[in-house]
Amino acid sequence: MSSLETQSRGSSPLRSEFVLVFMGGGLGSLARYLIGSGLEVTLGSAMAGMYSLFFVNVAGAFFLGLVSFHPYFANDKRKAFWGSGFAGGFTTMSGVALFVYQQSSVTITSVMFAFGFFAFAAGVAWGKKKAGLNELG
Amino acid sequence: MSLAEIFNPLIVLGIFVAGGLGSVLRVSLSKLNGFWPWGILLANVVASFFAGWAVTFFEADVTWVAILVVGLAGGLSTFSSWAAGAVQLVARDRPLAAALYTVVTLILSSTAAWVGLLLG
Repeated sequence: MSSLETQSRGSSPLRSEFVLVFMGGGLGSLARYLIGSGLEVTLGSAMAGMYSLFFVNVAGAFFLGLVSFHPYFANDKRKAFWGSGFAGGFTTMSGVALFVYQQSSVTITSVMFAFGFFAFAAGVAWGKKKAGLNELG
Repeated sequence: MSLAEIFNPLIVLGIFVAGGLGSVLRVSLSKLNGFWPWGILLANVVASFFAGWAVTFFEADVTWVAILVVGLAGGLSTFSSWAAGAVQLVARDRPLAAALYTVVTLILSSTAAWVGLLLG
C-alpha cells in the first residue's frame, strides 16, 4: 500500500506501525510454534524444547541485528514488520523462564544468552557491512 | 503430537492472533525504554508470569496452552530485544549495566514464571 493510499484512509503512522507489528509478530510466533512442533515430532519432546528454544532465540537475535542496519530494512515499515514484529515474536523470554524453572539448567541458559549476544552483534556487523558502514555498535 | 494436531486450524489461527496481539503490547511497552530497556524488561517479566499461570490453569487444555503460552506470552516476551539492549549498552561502554540487565532479566523472568505456576 502506498503512503498516499494510507493517508487517504486516514490511518496514522502509529496505527500503521501496530498493524505491521501485529502481522509480523503473529507470523514470527507461528514460525516458532511450527519449529518447536516439528522438532517435537522428529526428536521427541524431551530434547525438542531445548533445541527449538536455542535455535529460535539465537537465530532471531541475529536476524534483529541484521534488520537494524541492513539497507533492505532501512525503512520504518520493514523495520516494524521484520524487527519489532517478526524477530520479537519469533524469539521468547517466557519460554526461557519456563525452561529455567522446569529444567533448572543454568549452564544451557547462560550459553544461550552468550550465543544470542554475539549473534545480534554478528547480525549488526553484517548489516552494517552491506550498508557500507564499518563501525560496530 | 501428530501432524493433524500441529496444524489444528484453531491453534494455528489462535497463535497468529495472540502472538500478534502480544507483539503489539510489547512494542507499546517498549516506548517506556530509557537508559535501561525498562519496557522490554517489564514485557518479559509479565509474559513469564502469565505463561507460568496459564500452564497451570489450563493444564488439561492443549489448545488454550498453545494459544496463551506459545502465542500471547511468546509474542509479548522477546529474547532478540534483550540481545539488542545488552549489545547497545556494551557499545556505549556500559558492560556492567549490560551484565546487570541480563542477570535481572533472567532472575525476574524465571521468578515470575515460578510464581505464575504456583498461582495458576
